[in-house]
Amino acid sequence: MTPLLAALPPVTVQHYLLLSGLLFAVGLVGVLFRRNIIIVLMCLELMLSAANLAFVAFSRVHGNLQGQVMVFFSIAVAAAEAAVALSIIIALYRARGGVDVEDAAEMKG
Amino acid sequence: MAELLGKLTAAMGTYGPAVLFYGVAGLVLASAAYAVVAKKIDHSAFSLMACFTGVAALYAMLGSDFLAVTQVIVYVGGIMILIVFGVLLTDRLPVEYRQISRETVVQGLAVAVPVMAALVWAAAGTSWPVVAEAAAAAAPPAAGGTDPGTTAAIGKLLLTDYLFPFEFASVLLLVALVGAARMARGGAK
Amino acid sequence: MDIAGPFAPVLLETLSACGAGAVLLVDLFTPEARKSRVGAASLAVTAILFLAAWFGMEAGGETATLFGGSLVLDGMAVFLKRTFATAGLLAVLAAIRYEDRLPRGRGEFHFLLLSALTGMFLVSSVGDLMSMFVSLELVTLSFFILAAFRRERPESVEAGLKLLVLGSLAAAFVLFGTAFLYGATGDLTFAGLRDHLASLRGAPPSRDLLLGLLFVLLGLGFKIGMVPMQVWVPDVYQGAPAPVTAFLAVGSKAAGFALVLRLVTTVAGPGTKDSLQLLFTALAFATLFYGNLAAIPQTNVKRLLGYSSIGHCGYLLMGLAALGPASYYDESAAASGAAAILFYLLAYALTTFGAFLVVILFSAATGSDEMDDYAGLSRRSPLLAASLTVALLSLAGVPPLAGFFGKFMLMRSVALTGPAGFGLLVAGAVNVVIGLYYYLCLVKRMYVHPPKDASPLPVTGPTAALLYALTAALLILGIFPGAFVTLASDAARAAFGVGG
Repeated sequence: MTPLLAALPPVTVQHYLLLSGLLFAVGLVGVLFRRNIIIVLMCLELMLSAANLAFVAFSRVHGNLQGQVMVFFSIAVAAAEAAVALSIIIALYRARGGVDVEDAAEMKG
Repeated sequence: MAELLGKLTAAMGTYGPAVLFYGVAGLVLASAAYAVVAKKIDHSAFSLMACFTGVAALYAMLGSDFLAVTQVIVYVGGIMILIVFGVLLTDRLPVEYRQISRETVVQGLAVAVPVMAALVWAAAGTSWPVVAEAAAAAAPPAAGGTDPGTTAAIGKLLLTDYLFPFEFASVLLLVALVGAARMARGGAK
Repeated sequence: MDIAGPFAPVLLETLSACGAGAVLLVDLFTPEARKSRVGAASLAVTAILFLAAWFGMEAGGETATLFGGSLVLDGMAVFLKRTFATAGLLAVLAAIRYEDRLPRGRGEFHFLLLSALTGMFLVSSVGDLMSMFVSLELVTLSFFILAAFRRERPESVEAGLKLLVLGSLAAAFVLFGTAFLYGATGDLTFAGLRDHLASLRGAPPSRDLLLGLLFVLLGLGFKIGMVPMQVWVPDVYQGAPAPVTAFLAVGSKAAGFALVLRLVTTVAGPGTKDSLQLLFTALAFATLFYGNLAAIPQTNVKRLLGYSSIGHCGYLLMGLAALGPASYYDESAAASGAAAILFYLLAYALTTFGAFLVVILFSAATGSDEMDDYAGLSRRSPLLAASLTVALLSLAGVPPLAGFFGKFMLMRSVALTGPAGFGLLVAGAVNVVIGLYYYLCLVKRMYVHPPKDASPLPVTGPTAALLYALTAALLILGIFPGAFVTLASDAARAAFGVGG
């Protein structure tokens, strides 16, 4: 058991940053490739979360709380954005009867 | 037996944080990935909820107890509930899983590939301040043997140095309130 | 005159936030039959803001800071606030001419216009990345709802949703970039960023800082309609209610450029200016040609103005490309580029509202935004046709109008950078010709083509006065630009730390 665990590198801030970058990328892929707008919205929240994780990790590196305060604001903004987004999605659903990206793609040119 | 247990406890003391990190990180990544690829929207929503809870655990492991709690309350308790409401309110029709067009794939890759390349470029070339978990903490002054946590310090910062963005964040929330009410209100169009 | 003393940095923000709240209250206590009072209240608020911005703030005063550097009031901030106050006043005047088409929710409409304006005032004087994110989101969030405001019209909801998805994506990029800037410097203030770069003594900054900067610039590029972040512009311009489109065109562009300028004046230094100049030159090229070429085949006026606004973003980027390569680096070229951007934004605000006011009046009378329906407008309403023509010619950059002088200043700043700017100068000139072509196509329709429906379009007294005033403003800014150019150059020189 012990040798197996010893093979794991010790956790550093770099690991958290790597995870944050991966989460950002996963969210971006979802935003770009999913068609359902609610899922796109969830992926956007995921990207904001990834940035928040990077802030908290950097806050630890620098030993000050600025990064954490920034995350506090970012969470507030994300909540406001989600509320507005869902209200617009519901308006779209009423107007068109569907919530796929194609339902919001009448205008071309 | 007792010797084995002792060894195990010692091992957990040394490697526990690593095991915990890899476990939680794996959960976060896996649930994020599943949220993105799931065919059913409710699966996506619940998977994302797990992901946000995992992120809260990571905040706690990084020593920001206040944000961990905020994350659970706002993201898991607020935003996700909102999204589930959105799903329920708009999902009376069976979700049609449309084919993704070739155009979308090309456009998507045109954005995604350069962004990934930039991320890899920065990650590979920067000497991140590699700080071991235990040493990294700017340990808050442990008065009277109890850990005061970050809540009080963040509260002080919000009402002193960052009073200005704090005040105008409330204007932002008012805008969201008025706007959401306007857009989602029923009745006369 | 300085009416607010030490509180000058928050004067306009506080006034407009309180005004927005007051408008909601007026709406609440006004009976349905007298709803025009709501617009009057909103107009009063923006008129006060306009007067306070132009006559109640000192432009050349010392740089004032408040809240530990969260807010900075320097010459650049004052100039931008004046531009925003003007745009806000014009937006409300345009909205009053539009709001009869809003059966309900006038109070919310004006509230959101004013809260977007509050965000713009904040954006022009933020001193740290935290306030930048919050105030930028205040602008963006207000515009999401404003664009989707006519929720009974699918294209309006569609415009709001497009803005929302791509705007949130841009916000995620800004936030992620900010995280990396914080990681590289350990500080969230612009001053901290500047000190960090100064401590490098000309060495290139670390990759995480560059990545952070790139991500923030990409996110801001969305606000200004820069290629490759321009995809939302035509659809949103077409689908959103016309007063919102005009305000979005001016406000979002100016807010984005305010922050880009703030960031570039902070980070431009020996270690970064080469890459910045290269980046902005490439972006200006792409944005100019994309916007102007895609505008040619358009048939909808709002969509045409959307593509042309991408083209204008390209011209504005020329001012940033004037940072100059190292060997020709000349502080005066960089400062003149920034001054040109400030002046151009003011001219663009007046011109855009001049054009959109006619679009609003025309669609109110005919229900159409199609260019074919503008045929023979000169015979149906000479005033509307003449106002639109002057605005279009100013957009195209024809002397002696405001748009001409703005373009002249931008080109001059690029020329100051020496041979490196030559290619961009040629590209700018070619694009002026392309722009002239498609603007004149619309003018030709109005003056040469016979009208399908010859009924005259009456213009009421106050509206006509507004059209005359805007046209006069375009002429005055083009013929006597001196005072405004001085204000803009002083502001830009101070921002780049160049002595008067």
